[in-house]
Amino acid sequence: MPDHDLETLRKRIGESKTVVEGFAVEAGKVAEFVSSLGDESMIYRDPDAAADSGLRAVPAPVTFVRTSVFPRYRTSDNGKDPVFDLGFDPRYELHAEQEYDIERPVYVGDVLTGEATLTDVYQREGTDTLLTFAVEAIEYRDDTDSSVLTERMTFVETLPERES
Amino acid sequence: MIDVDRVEVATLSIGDELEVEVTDSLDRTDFVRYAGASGDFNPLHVDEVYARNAGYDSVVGHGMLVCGYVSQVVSGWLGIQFISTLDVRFVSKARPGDAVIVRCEVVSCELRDDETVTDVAVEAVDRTGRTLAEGNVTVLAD
Repeated sequence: MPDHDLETLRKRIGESKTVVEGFAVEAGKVAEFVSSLGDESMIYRDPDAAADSGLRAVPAPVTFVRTSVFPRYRTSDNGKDPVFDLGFDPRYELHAEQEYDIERPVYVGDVLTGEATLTDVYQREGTDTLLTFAVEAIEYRDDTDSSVLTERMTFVETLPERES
Repeated sequence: MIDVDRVEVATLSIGDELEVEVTDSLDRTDFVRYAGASGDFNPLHVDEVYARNAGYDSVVGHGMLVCGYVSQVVSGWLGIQFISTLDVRFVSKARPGDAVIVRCEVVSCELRDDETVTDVAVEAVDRTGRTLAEGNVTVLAD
């Protein structure tokens, strides 16, 4: 049974670990990802088009860093987000919110690392449900150790009825 | 399909709007293609039997697919290099057959330390007006 003792879960806030290594942003992967979003813009495919738009290289979409979840880039045992196992039941786990703080665009050619931090855990009572929220941040840094982008994912477990 | 004409951030005013119909009908292939491209293979998005057993009428779209649509529309409109923050809350599930329409509206423009800070309210809705996701984008430009 999931451990929903809020105080126990909250003691884990601030836990941090490196979960992404050698995340090489490749042109073909960016083009594939952009195509999956139905975006026809050439700036994501052609260095000249990117330069004409004032970009120093072909950019990856803001949401591209989600592809860091591929096993090629994840450190062992961190192949799924949230990487912090809070005992959520996957049948009732939902992605509630996604946020990005962006220092600069991710570019083709970047090689990124990512450090995940459990930044918050809280509960709310719903109608006949207990909602447990967890917020995980991943900060991506480039090979000069400069911060590029931080994504924050809020996951919620919506238990249909309170378990004791 | 997303093909948006770029505008200069400096020319924006409060109330400026953009509406883009990204697709007139999501299909299961869109979910499969996004799963393969993103690495999110949660069966809820691609496995009809699993989705029904989980209580849904059909597979449902990834929240991040909708977030990606919103992000691409705003990036195309204002320039990806100017986006400073993007915040999207997932409100309801996208289903096969749904249209996805992304709406953006400039809600504030302020000059702070020689930078123009522009806040854009964003929303993705289906053809009935049901909100799939909503949020805010902050854009910085000199």
